[in-house]
Amino acid sequence: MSKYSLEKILELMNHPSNIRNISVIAHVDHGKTTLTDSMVSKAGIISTKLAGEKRVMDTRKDEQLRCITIKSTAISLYYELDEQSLPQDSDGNSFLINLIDSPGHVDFSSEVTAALRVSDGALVVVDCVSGAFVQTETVLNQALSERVKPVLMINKVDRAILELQLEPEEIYQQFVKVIESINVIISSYEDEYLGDIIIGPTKSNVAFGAGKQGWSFTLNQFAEMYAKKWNMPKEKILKRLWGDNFWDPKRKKWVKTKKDKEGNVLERGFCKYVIGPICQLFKLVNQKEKNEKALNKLLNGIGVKLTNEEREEESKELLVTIMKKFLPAADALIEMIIYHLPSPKVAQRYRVQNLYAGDQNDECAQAIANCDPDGPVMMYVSKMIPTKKKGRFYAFGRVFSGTIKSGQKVTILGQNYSAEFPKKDRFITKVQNTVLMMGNKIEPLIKCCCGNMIGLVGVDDYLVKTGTITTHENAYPFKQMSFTVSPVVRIAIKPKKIQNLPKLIEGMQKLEKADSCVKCLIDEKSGEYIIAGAGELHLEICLKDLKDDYCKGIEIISSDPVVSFSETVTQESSQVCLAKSANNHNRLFVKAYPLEEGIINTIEKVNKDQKIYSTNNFLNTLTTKYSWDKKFVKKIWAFGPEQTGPNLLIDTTKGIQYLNEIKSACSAGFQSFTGVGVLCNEPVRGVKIEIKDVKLHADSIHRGENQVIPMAINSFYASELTAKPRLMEPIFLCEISVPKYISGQVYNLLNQKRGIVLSEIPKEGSNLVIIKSDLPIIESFGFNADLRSATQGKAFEQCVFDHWEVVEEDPLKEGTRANKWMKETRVRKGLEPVPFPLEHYHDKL
Amino acid sequence: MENFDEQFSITKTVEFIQKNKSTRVILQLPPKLLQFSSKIEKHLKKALKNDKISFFILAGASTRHCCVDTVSSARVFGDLIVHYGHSCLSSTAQIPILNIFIPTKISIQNIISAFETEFSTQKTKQMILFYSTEVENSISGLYLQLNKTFPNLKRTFLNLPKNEKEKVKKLEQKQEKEQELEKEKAKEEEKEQQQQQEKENLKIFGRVLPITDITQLSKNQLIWLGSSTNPTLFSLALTFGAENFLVLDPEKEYLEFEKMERMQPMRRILMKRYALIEKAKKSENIGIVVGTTNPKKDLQIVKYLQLLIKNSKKKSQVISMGVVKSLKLGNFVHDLDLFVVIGCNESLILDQSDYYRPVLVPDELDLALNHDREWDGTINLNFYPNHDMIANLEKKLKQSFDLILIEQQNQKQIENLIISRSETRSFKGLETRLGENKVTKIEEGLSGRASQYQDEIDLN
Repeated sequence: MSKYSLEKILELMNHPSNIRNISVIAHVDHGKTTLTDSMVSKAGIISTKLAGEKRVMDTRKDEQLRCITIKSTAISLYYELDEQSLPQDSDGNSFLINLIDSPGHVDFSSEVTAALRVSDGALVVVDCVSGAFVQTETVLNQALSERVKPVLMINKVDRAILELQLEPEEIYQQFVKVIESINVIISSYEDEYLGDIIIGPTKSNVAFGAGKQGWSFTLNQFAEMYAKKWNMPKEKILKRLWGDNFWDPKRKKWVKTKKDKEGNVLERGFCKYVIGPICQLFKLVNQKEKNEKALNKLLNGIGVKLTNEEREEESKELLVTIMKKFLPAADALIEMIIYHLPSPKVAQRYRVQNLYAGDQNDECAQAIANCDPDGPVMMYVSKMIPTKKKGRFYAFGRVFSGTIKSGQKVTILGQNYSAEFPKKDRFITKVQNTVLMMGNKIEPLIKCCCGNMIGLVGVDDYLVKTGTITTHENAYPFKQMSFTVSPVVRIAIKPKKIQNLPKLIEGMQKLEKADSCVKCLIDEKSGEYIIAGAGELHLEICLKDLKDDYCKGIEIISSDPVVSFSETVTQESSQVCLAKSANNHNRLFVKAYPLEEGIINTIEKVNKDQKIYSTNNFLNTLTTKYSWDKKFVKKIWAFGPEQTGPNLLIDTTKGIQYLNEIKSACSAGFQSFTGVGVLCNEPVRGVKIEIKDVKLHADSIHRGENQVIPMAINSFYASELTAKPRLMEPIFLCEISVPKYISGQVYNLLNQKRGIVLSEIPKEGSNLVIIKSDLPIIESFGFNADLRSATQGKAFEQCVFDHWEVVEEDPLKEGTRANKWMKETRVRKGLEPVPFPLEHYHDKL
Repeated sequence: MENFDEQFSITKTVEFIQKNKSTRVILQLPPKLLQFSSKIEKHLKKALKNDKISFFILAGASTRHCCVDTVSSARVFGDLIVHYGHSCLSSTAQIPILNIFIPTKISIQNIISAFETEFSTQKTKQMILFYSTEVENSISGLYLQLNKTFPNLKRTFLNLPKNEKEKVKKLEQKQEKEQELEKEKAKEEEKEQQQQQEKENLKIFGRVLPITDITQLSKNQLIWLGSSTNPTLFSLALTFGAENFLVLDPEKEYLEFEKMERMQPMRRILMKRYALIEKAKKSENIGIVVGTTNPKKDLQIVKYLQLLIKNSKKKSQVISMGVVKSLKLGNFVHDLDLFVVIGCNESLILDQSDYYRPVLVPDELDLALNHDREWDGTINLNFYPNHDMIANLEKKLKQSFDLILIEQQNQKQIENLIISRSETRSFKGLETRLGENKVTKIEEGLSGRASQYQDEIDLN
């Protein structure tokens, strides 16, 4: 075991070809953090004994208590390899692995996104019994779209052997299934730059093991072992240890069929030489009193020596001790990471296109591609980590080029910076300090060379959540990350004492900074202070952070979680709606129409990805795919809300004088209308407003904005009211894994909660079934607890926002559920329970 | 008839007009009372029996209805204003003003028993009684009786315009002679008390408080006697904290004290207001809207706000505007992110849904931009910067001036830009387009009212 030494780490930081930046990603509860423990212990930071229990990377108290990772945590680990077989481009035999342990719960997906952005490789962990889950797929997809190369760790093999008592052949089949399910996802990403990334045990980019017991192996290790024993080339053995290779003991020869000519069942190479001996060992240790001799023989065979003390251990502990000595988890993982994941030098060459927003040939892009320590500093800050000092943050990120030093003057490009408005969100300041993140500790640095992950001190005031740090004057920023989760569940908070409101706001701002998926809003219309997050658990954690940390000492009252609705229309307006300006001199005639779902999705996708709306592309889609009239397509006046939302304002008039003058006012009115709809002031979604006719006063002073904006809003509201307005509610995609025999309970519960079951797939090799369903978010509060009690805690669920669905009932009709929701929302916002009637907005001629 | 005379204090008005020898009398009525205007005029004329006195009725005011509209009255050269209905009592105009409050009927006995139930165990509690203008007529008698049971209950007085009081004093004295001896003595006492109170005591919100220092206020239970929807109560509650107020609404059927916080969603209002304050921190261009007719006082606030805004590296523009309305402010939507309205102490705009930009009161802007301040959960509607505060800001500005000279120059340019833009915006009358249009025969145009011209038919 190498001893933890900071000097060696610092020295290695200057050798990018010997660095690996990786994230550990997986579904919740598949054992990421526990597995990471073994690697940390191998690096000499904790003792081997504690590995698998300590959860070093769960640095927060609540993480330790709940045994769940909430924030991703980074650590730098130093290893030395044998001199004999080093990877091609390496520089010496010591390596630095910068590792980020990420949370698996879907509510914290944004943490994974941020972690992957600064990694070049991903260690995908999958529970061998339950297999790949939705969240496994999600994070793997995220990794691949960031051009992060994956390797696989099949975890919890001990469960297959001990709990399920599977035979070696069954275990093999289980492994094959997991690997296949991962490869299905990988093969859908054909990326010439990433090269062949299909995984397979013979490529040694798959490891098997049990994090809890601290052991894991790759086939390569076994092949090496047998190569020594049998004196055969390693490559030859490796091939036999996987796939349809069976050992025929009679003919002493490898064959491709399961049965020999006489019909005797043959044993698969993997089963006989790899998993078989392990199962055997498990069995012997479990009944060690009976099998002492056999056990000793086996231990001798695999070269494990036990002290007398260790021999006395209970069988459970003894097993762990033996396995840790036989197949130490870290060895296999480190080998896999160092040999099969790229160094920054290799990775940045192909990642630069995905990362850098500017021209690929400019100085900064070149420096990133070459991982040039002498080039301009280009660092991407992916998240803000709270410091011990209250209210301050480390800006955590990766240096992609150049060398950043403490005290250096740098330019900070914030999230809202764009080359078009070079003065906005651009600051110049000094870096106070650079630090290395070591789990919950930090180590100060003097400088940091490209290819490393570090934290910066003293720039947090200038950054909201993410940003680019550079020394080049004309550098473009790094591209924004796209998050897969959206904050749809919200709670309103208020201080118990009103004087503490300013402190609460300050706390909210800090919370928003520390978590990339939290949105803190202040609704000045209703006086609500809102925290929006991905799910109930997420909000619970946020509130806890707020109470215990960012707003310490302030009593906070929080509301029950509520969902945000959307408003939409389901029909063309039944009449042309008219509104007059306050001076009666101007009129606007409009109609509302529902937008096709496809168009809504296109708008949202395009605007999410590119931020700046590329009109031509979209317009072409409209004419070709949805056969819109070209004339009108050219006259799209606005998207809304926030200029990018999924609603359209279109001018369909002809030859109206001065019409252009009121365009911006109408657009402003449209933003306001789409932001707060007529039903209950919720955002509007999927509405197209067509302006049918306009009458304007000949004199410009009488058709100013103050006249046009209210008129526009009134006419839009009227058109919404006449077009069968409906509420839309957000729907979770809910995945529940449950033993087959109690799946009936889950169906009952889903029925009660208006859930719609989409599929039920049995998990092979277990008695579990996976039930996928659509679950209205409004019904999901407390669903977790209900599910636990209905199934005696045997079911596990994960929910992620999926889509909006129209509530068919008329919200304006008394007694419907939609009506109830509308009224509740209105009352919560301090509005009258019922919206104004049409006459309030629609003027008569 | 008698009832009407009493309700609108015709005799009192007549005396007041005669004392001032006024010839052009302005009657200012809120919309609610406008229907009685001609009747009032008739009654006054009848009682005055003087043809030389002419009356003017202000149907639409250029200020809020609670303020005295000196601007409009000056247009018709009025020499005396009679203001009817609810008043914010913040006018300092030189012209004689008579406030006529329309009294509500109250039952003194019921009020006293309400007091006795509420404070049965705390008879010696320190209390200060505020009351609405509507109960001014009966407050003296009521207080006299209350004071017997509650020795530590102190009352406030309305701070009525000076010129009125001096002249009405004699009148009142005359009336007093006709009354019982005891009551006269009490009135005398009260007057003495009032005069003494006025000399050194705190004057705020058109009221004279029985204390000399604002900090003493928190030691007292504050009581409001009057309608619970009265705007003065709202301003008082925002300024002194709603939690300190107990409200007794004499117009209710069953008289009972209620906590101010319970009756109005004050918490929500404050949270809304603070949301606006948060917005003010981020806004760049701020419009200072002067909405009163009290130039001396206002200029001081304008100066302070200008300095404050400049000190925060933001830009300001002063707009003069009588009554603040959303349509008027709408004209500036493009240039300004935020408005701060300098008006009377009841000019806080609560419902901002028609305004496209936040509309704040000076104290709120000060909270947003003045880093030395810490919020105590109230909004001072009587915000008035003293000389020290202005001098302090000037000093600060000077200190930072040298450092950011270049920045200032940039700022100047932007300021100029705003000014030039607003210059082009000013109203120049209808477009004449002389010589630009072809000569054609006269066509028949639109006829009728703009809301619906005669040739227009409903499209639906």
